[in-house]
Amino acid sequence: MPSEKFATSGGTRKVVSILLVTHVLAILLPPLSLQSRGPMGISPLISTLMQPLEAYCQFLYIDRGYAFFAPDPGPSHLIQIRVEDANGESNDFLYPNLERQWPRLLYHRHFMLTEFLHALHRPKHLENAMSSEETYVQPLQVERDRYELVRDSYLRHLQEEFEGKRISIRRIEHQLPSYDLYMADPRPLNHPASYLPLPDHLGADVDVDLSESMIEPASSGDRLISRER
Amino acid sequence: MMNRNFLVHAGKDWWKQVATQWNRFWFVPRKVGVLATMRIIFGGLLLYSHLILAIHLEDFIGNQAWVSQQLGQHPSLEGSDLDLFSMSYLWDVQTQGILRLHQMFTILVTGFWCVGFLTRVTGPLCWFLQLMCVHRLTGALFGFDQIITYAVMYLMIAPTGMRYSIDAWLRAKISDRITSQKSILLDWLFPGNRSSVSANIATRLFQIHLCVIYLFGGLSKSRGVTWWDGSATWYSISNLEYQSIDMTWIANYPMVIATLTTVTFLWELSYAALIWPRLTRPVVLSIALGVHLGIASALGMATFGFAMIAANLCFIEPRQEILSEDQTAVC
Repeated sequence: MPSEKFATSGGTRKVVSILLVTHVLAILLPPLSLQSRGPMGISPLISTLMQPLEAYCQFLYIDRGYAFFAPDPGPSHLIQIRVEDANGESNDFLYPNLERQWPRLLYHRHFMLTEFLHALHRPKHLENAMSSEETYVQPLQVERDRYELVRDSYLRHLQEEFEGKRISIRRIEHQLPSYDLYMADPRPLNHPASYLPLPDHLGADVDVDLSESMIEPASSGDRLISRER
Repeated sequence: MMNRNFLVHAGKDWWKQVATQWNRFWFVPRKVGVLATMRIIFGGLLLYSHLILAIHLEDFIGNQAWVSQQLGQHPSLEGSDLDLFSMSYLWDVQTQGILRLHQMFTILVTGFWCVGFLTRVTGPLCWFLQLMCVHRLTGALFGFDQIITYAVMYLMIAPTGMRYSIDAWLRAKISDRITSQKSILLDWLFPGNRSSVSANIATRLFQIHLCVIYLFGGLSKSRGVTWWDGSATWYSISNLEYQSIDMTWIANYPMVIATLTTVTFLWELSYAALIWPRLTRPVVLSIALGVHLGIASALGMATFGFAMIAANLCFIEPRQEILSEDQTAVC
């Protein structure tokens, strides 16, 4: 077979080819490592291949799984904010909120922030939960501490936004109506019953997240929902 | 002995063929028309993203941001998924005035790249500034940020300033000077309209990355139930937080819901295979257009939807765009 002529020299092509193979591997391995995660952790093969490329992938922001609306489209996770002034009067808001965050890109960034907080959440009082073994509880406690750090950061931001008023937040799950349920009883999508406050403690029914002593907890079962859309 | 020689020769021939195909895939020069169009679209989207951020900068970057500066310095986050703080200097900048100046500079650079001014410089700079930005916006990012970051990363490799740009206009003004002075720097800075190997490499990398995104998007969905039973589209459009157009009337048409779900799922899963043959490419691109227009209009993610449509342009490959190897080329 006669050799073809290319615009670049053979040496350049070899060097560039090595770089290209490395980059293509770096594109492929992060989503593969997400998919290969099981009860025993990530597949040893994928994690070994991934290790030398981890920093590269992270820096280029290609360490993603691309699991959009997957495995199933699920409910949204919001935060509910109670703002109380010195007279004890309070207002409640749900975040994200199209009236407060416009244009849509700004709203969506707030939406991602509330989903982020939910993704980080680990239940409180882990020492009483499931196992008292330190090896099991300790990593969960570290994750709980991380959640609290981010939650407190959100609270500080909201205090600044609402000029030092008393702020409390809690996580809310906005449940999706199943197809059958909706056909039988087509309630509006913002029906109060579809907003479920999420517990912070294991085994608790309703939760109010606190920022240390700053915030008074709302009583259990309090109807805080006042969606603004 | 004869058999062994035969196997060695067959192996060598096979390897030669692999090398030739590899070189044809990556190292054939390509014109930059499509990539220059993509530069304008992605430049515009990125500019919009930075402008929105600039208006609400304190909410996202700085001491009082949702994810605050103080959080970035907390030792307990070391080694966690949140340990991105070493990736961007924006975690360390305390002064709001400097952050504002930085954001204005980012907007200026992105604007220059979008209109094609000094693209050889503004392209890489625009990408770097975007990376610094995404590493600071931990928690507030979504698919839109991913695709525009990748787009800038690949488009900066190619000399997109050759077409539809201020660079091309300047090149026409000073082309006599470049020729007479034989200035390598000016020729590199304001490249003439030639085919380019780097344009082909940028295109190929973008194409492969897009295939990986869709493949794993499809594989992730295949682990669910609703993508198989046909109800996933219902659960997407009945999500109020995503909704930009009320499409709940579609509940009266379960066959439509199931068809949209199955087509989306199978299209995403098979994109990486069916986008390459010329026969199936128009079908795959047409479905891509439909799916992403749906996301843009009904699911409240206009920016993401349009970015994904723009990303699919990397598979628009008019025959005249690929030139034979003996034509003039630039790296």
